[in-house]
Amino acid sequence: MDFFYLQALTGLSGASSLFLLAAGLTVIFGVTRVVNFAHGGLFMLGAYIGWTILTVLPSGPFWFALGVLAAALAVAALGAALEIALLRRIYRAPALFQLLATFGVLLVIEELTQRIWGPDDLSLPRPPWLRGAVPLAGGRFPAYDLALIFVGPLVLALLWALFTRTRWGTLVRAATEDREMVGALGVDQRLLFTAVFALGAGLAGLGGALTLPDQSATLQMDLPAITDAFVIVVVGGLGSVGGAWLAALLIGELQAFGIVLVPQATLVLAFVVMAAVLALRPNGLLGRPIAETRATAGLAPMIRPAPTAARALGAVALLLAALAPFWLGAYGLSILTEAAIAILFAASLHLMMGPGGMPSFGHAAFFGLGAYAAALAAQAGAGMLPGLALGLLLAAVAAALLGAFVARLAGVYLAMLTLAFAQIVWAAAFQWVQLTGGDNGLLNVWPPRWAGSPAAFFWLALVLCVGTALLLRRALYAPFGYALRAARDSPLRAEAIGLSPFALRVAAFALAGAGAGLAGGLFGFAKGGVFPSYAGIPRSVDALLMVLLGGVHAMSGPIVGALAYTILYDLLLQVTDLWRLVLGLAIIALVLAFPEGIAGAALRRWRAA
Amino acid sequence: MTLAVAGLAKSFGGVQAVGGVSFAVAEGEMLALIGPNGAGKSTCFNMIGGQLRPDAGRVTLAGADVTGARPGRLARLGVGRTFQVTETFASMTVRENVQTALLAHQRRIWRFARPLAAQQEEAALRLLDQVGLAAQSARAAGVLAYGDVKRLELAMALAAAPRLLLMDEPTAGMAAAERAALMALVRRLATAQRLAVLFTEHDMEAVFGVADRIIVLNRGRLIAEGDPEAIRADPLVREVYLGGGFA
Repeated sequence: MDFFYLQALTGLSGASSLFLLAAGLTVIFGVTRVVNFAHGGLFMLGAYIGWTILTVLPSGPFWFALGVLAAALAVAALGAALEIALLRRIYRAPALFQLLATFGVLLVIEELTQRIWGPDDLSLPRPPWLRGAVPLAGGRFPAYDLALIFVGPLVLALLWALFTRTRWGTLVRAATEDREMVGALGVDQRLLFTAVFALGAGLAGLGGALTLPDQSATLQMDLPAITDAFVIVVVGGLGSVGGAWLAALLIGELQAFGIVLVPQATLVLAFVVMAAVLALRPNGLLGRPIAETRATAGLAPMIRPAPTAARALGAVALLLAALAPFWLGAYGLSILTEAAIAILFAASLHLMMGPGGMPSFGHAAFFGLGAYAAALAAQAGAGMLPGLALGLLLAAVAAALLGAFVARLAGVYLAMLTLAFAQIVWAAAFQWVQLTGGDNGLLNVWPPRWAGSPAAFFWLALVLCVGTALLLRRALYAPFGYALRAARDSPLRAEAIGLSPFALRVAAFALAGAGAGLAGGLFGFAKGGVFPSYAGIPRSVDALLMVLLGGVHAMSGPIVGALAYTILYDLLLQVTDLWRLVLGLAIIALVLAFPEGIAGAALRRWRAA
Repeated sequence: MTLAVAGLAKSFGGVQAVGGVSFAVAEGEMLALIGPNGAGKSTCFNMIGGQLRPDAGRVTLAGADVTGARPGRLARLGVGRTFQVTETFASMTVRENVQTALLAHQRRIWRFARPLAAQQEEAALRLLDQVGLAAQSARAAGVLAYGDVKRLELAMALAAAPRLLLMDEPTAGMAAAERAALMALVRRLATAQRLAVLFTEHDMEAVFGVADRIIVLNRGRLIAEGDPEAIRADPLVREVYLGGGFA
């Protein structure tokens, strides 16, 4: 029984940490409807700034509390600056662009943090008062964790009082219900939004600073933090602070007991909980349906077959590419091989995102699954081509299963759940060392001799990738593609003529997964190894950027976008080591310049001309 | 195909929108469902069309129970419908909208190779010609005038060769002459193809001009049923409408 109590207490303290991490995200979403990807970065900044402040302050509980609060305030101020400089310009942009812009902010924060504090982990010297333990339930429980148990409910109570007992809180709740009405009543919404964002950022900073006694401040803490926060917020219901606390409690306790009972399953546990909760309550524990602005339906431009000139241009480009081994060196061929793989990766995402209307923020999950399955099969002696087929199949099945869960959900949930799924794949690749080699990856994944030369492998990649991308494109012009777009444009009408939007979307998921899986498998053989980063968030963002660069609503968009992105990226790597900073700023600039999407902007310009 | 509705009821959060409505539509018959705003017309429609599940009551098609059936199943059983707020596929041309509906009806949607543009072209044009949209077949559905979108919806509903047509305010937003033409077309189809038609409409001229029978809904209940003459003379109906604009 004593064991039970101690684990329950551990769960409570974990729940407090999770709640602090997620509360700010849900507060910001509730009012501004922005899913703030930079939240993980603000959390990380809280830890770093907290470290700087706490190492100069005298030791002792009072000074510790003061330092943590100062860190939270500093992050809140940064949040306010971020809102004024960037966020308020993109409130009307599509959710995907908001996610992308805040991801750009995250990259910038990462780079700056590394420049300011250096690449090493920073840990707090632990004075005796922090190391203490309290005799409890026949064991000893860390005093700090015990104190932490009370911080979560305290913050929850303060937030509750703030939102229900103050005029400001009433205004915020009113803005959550009906933004336009509050604006019409003469309330300065801009100030309100800035304040809410600062509050959310401050909570993230508080959460980050409070992790210091238990963990070091590291440059890698932001992405796991944002994934955890997404899971909590989705389970609790987007925008619901009380729901976030319940969700934190549920997942905190499950993790505390899960780690004892099934240590290997803790990674997937949170995801299973999320899937179960969403299956029973699609809006989370305490969430209400989001009034979704009707996807992109009204905006989607009409799609016409490519003009003859464009087809001719494509054919010439393909011919030039096919002859590349005769006029290009090994390095150039390796770049072109990567470009061919990128084309398939982008085309597969485009299928579900454009015609399917389902923006995925975790497309790398299928890329990674395909890569690992192909490499493992090849290492087990199956050979490269059967391995590639297996990777394609596994990714397609995983995508169909995920699709069956999320295809009914609205855009924001879909983006967050696909991201969470990709993080699970990434974490599994990272931690399931016996199978995946963990951080070291799987090495010596080379193609067989017949495809071993750069030219032969390039031809193989060209045929498989561009061929598959063209097949996907053909499917989009076939009845299936029209039916998929029908389900996106008007689900009501699609059902009334006898289509099943759900089945169509699951099929789009499966096709997209298959394409990404094949691309990932080939990428492994091209690089000679498979690593967890293949399923990482940055790779998912790569795919998104390629599709957006080319234009979501342009059928040739992913092909053009993938080519442009691969070449730009390669140039960027050669000229600067500040790639995160440059990429982050480039993403932000892209979103600010084309808040309705590049294709949208091009279309508007074309119509105006 | 006869549609029969018995004891249909639906409440939203304790407020009864529709309470115990029963009626039937026969083949070749046009039945108008009218009533003041908030009478429960759209709720009724959405329960019959599969968008809402009724709390109580039965819906039968040619004797088969289809209560609570999904729209997809109803479509396969021969139910076509148009919506009050128009629902078409904005990213396609007018013709492609109808082609998609035709291929969906023929269950040839799960095809991945042959371009849709080359399939069922003539059948689509015939349907568009029927509703007077042939000249606009290559335009984007998203830029059509409101009345034309209504006609496109009708063509898409007809693509499934329906036996029962559900039309929620088919002429809303159309000019008077267009309205008469559209309702006359539906009348011809109903007679020629033995279509059962159930429609709601605000335009009383359209209702009394084409309907074989009229049922009147008020506060979720049927208060009158009969041919146009009988409804015109019904004192209860007159009271509900307060004579305002009522023919």
